[in-house]
Amino acid sequence: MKFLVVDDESLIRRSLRRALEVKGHLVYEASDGRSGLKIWKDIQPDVVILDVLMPGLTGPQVLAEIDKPLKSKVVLISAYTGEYNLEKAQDLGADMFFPKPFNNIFEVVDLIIASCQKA
Amino acid sequence: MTSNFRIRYELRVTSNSIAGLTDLNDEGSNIFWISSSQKGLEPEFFRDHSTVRMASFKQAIGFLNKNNPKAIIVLIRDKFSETIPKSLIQRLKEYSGYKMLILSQDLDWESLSGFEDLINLCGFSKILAWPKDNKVLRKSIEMILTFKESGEAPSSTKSSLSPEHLQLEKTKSLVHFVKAISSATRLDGVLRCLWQDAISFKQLKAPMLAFANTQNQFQLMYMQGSEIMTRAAADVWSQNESLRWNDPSDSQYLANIFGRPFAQLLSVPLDLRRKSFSPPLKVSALLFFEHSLSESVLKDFILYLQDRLQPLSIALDRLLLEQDLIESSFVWEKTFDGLKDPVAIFDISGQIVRANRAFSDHLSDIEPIKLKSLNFTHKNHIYDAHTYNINLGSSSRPSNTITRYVDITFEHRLNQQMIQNEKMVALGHLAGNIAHELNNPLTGVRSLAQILLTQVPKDSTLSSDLNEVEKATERCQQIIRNLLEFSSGGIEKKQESISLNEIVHRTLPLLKTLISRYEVRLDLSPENCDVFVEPHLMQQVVFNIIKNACQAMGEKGILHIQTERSKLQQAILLKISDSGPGIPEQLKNQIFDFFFTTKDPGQGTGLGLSMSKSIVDRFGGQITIADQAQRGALFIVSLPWANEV
Repeated sequence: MKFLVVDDESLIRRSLRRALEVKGHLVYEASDGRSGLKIWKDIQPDVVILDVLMPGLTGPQVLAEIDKPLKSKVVLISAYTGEYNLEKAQDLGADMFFPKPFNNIFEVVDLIIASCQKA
Repeated sequence: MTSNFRIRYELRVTSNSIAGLTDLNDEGSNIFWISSSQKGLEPEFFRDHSTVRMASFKQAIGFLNKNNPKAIIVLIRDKFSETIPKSLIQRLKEYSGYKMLILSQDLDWESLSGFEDLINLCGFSKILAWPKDNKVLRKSIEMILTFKESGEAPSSTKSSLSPEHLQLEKTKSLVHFVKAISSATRLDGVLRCLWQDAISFKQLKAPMLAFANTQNQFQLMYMQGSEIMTRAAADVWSQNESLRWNDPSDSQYLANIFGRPFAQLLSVPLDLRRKSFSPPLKVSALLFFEHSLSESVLKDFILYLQDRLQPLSIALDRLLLEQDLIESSFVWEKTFDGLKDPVAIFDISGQIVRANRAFSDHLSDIEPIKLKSLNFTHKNHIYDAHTYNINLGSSSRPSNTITRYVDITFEHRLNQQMIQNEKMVALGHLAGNIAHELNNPLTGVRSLAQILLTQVPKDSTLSSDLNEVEKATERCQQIIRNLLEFSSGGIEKKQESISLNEIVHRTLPLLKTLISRYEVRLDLSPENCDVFVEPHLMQQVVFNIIKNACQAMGEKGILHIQTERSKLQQAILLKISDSGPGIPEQLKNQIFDFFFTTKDPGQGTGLGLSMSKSIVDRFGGQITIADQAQRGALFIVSLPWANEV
């Protein structure tokens, strides 16, 4: 599958990419919301892993800008578990929500792949 | 009987308006001769005039107790006689309207004390020193015998005294009045004095005085028998400034007060320096005399009064002003002492002139130099000094300063507390921000470490090193979690009713290794110890305090953990004590401060206790440090009992 990882923390992008590439998926990266939006429109990924708090456009703002209906699956990741729980994530159009920090990167990735492959 | 005693006598003619001298038998008179002397004057020479009865003091008392003779009483007192018994004097006082002649060998005031009242109550009285010869005695007694009532000025009998003598008597009487009224110490004394002086005018009732008291209330002072009474008057008296008689508005005024009509009334307006009210009254006080004098006698009376108006006014002024002064002084004193704040009045040289009760209660033992400062501390109270200039003198420049010391201890502490709270909140926010910032890279590091681990041989050093890195990041994440919980509040976690004993039980396994080296005394109360808390957070509190205790004890020691229910406070108490060195007094306040730690760097962040306090506060409880008689620290966590009715 085609993945797009949008997060301002380079180590997070890097580890997600490694974990996904090991499983044979294609991964694109964006370090902020604006470029993420552009790449999303350009490459039409299957899954977008989107950080919530980023400088410039935030995750939700990106979601608002992208054309609906969403063709990609959206996974929101955030440190703020309180404000952005699963319900809110769904309201925004996301399919999944993962709180940061990740205890095990592989668990997270497996869960994402599993649920997105169903579709 | 001849001896060289100075003859000093006082002649007072008073008239008692009640039982009159008219009751006396006109055919000669009865004489009651009371003497205790063995060598006394014998009254043979007037036996031809009258009936004489002689008695000793004792006999006299006995006789008078059973009889009320209408007689002239001659009382003999020489140096051979005993002191006149009080009971005799009392009995004589109870008489009214008689005449009395006192013959006394000593005329000093001491020996005559007790007689003044008696004299005043008599219709006619005279005190004679031991007469040089019988002629004087005879003349005196004759005078008494022939004394008839007249409405004239005292001390004269028409027939026997010359005009010059009359004038002399008049002057003497006026002088006496002036002296007496000037030495009056109370307002009612003035009325009495006037009354005594005017008593020779028969058909005159006791005077009444209308005036205004210190509270500007209209008062009427009058005599009832020998008592002075005062009644309140609803209105002000007539402001007519002329002396007048039988004025209907005056009669009406008094009738309103006493509820009875007043027939003949003499009104004497007084002009005092003391002005009541604003605007001031024209007539500051008004004197009334109810009377039934004939027109000619009334004229004499008015003349008599006019001689006395000025001393009377002066005395009244003085007494009323004194009253005003005392009253306002009293009011001022009470006000000054009623102030809660200590107040002191200083003179130019900085000496205290006057201080109030609050000052003497709180600041009496203070070093004087402190009083000059704007702000100081004394006996654990903080004071703010507010100083003002005042002018107590007659010049235009300020003569004194008055300083009010306001106790701001409470506000000060409150302020400190608020600042502290704000600091805590700010620090909390800061911590939260930092935590969030750190989370991101930390997640990245951990995740990447996990990935790298899959790419190196499992048994290699590289693998185990990477493992350590990964574990380290996990620890970092835990710290950040704790920090976030502390700063954000963790309100989302639900509170429940759970036994504090249970919390302790859940926490102890987590510390198993740490507490294994100490002697642990567990003393959990068998009673219900339910508290309404979030269990994980509460566990953290218990964990932190026990960890702190262990760290204080070092290699070995005794850890005592106890729970109990305080019925008085409806609270559950958790007491954790250690046998370490204890907490120094000055650190006790700081120990719950954010980042406060006495540990070396790297050994502890100093977050534990402040976090614990924050958690306990949130659940409505308190953490306190108690004094231990022995060494060691005792932490007491108090939480409201969940089952309180």
